[in-house]
Amino acid sequence: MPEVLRNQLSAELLKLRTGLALPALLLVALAFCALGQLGLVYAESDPASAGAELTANIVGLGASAALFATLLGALHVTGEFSSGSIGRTVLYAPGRSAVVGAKLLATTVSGLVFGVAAVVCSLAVGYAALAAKDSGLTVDGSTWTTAAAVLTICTLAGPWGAAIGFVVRNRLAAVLGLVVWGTLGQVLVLGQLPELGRFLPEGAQFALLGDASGFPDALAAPYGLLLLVGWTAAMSLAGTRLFTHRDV
Amino acid sequence: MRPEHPPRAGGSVVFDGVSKRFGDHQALDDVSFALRPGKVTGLLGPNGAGKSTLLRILLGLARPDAGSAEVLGGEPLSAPERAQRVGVVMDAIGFHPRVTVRRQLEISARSLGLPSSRIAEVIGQVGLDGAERKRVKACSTGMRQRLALAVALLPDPELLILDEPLNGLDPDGIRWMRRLVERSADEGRTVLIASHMLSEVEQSVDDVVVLRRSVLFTGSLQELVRRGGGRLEDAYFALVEGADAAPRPEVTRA
Repeated sequence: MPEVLRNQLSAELLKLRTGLALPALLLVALAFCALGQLGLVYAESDPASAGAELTANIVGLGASAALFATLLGALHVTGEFSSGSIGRTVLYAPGRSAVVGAKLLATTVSGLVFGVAAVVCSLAVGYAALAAKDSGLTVDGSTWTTAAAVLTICTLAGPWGAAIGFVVRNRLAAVLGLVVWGTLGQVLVLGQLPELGRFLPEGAQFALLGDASGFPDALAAPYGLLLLVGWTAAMSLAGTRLFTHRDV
Repeated sequence: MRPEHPPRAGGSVVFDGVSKRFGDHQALDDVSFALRPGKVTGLLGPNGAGKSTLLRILLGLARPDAGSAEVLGGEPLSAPERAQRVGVVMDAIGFHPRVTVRRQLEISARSLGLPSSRIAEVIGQVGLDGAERKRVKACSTGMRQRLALAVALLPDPELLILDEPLNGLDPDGIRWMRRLVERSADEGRTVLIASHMLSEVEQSVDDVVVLRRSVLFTGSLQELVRRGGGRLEDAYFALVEGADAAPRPEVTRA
């Protein structure tokens, strides 16, 4: 990587570590996942016989952290537009595409952090909740496959959010849009229009997780991965194009 | 007197026929002038004259509809080495309110690939010692101006662009800023100051550009003052009010 790009990436990572957005969103994400995981374990009448499938489902719920990784990505970009500091970022970068590139890379790293934290926290919460019901985690290949899916989903969620930030620019609109879509919109579309929903990022996430009970119309996992990467790449291209052509 | 050939002598800026329109509003119309390297130029004009738009074009934050701007021998800040040679203080380029003074400087230093030792130097240079841990939102307007200047001075720039640098500064701050501009010019930097404060501009600049959508005057301060019978204010208002009355403004080139 050229030195000027390394400098940009280093500055973007420092920005991400500055302020409360990262720790606050990470904590809320983990609490949100833990609530779902506790509900799942306590709703299971016989966790001992549920075995590896229950463990995989517990880990799979870690993918809920992706919404918060997306929010962090969007805030990382829209926050600069609202404070006006985006002008300085553009000024010190080797070009506007480099600004987008550095932010996408930095939010990929933050997404990965969300993914790792979500998987580790899922295993810890699952272990504690199952122990309280005199049972334990049953870890096998499906657990690690699901963990890899959660990692992938969260890692891609960061740049997805950042790219949305470059397109929308307005912080409030981006956050409201993502929250409303992430909580209500996707449920409606996946529920009412599954033929369409399976091709959306949320449908692709279900496909990657192999969660047939959550969304029976999901595609096969490899197609889900391709779709997720495709959506992130398409939004990134749209963000780059808009950012390089509009005045800052 | 400043040396005619200062040691740095960098920071060339040329505008050639720059026009910019926002919807129905013509912000800039065929603006052409050049800055003399190593000199301090005052960019004067009433509110809405297009000063900030012109500076945004100069910094590559906005693109002209017609014409071109050249900074340090190329398109505005299209290359990182050029960004390293320009320092900017501009209201429109803000700071994240939760970031501390020190962290903001660290972020900018990293972007520019500068060592962190440079941070302590500029903090001392702008008089922000002891304020490193203060968050931007807790800083006074004057402190924010000093922070903006500290960031601008980080790369030790050849070209210094100051948009209303005296905003929010107390008399002591104004005197300090004036000295900084003088020192910058003595060190061979090219300085462009956009300001409303004619009296301050008169004390700091070598050249003047009066702008109201198009260039009404560009030349030396002495020439403009001479036109006003020895008073910059008279010369300025004659130009600006004359532009209101006349269909086409008189353009004088240096």
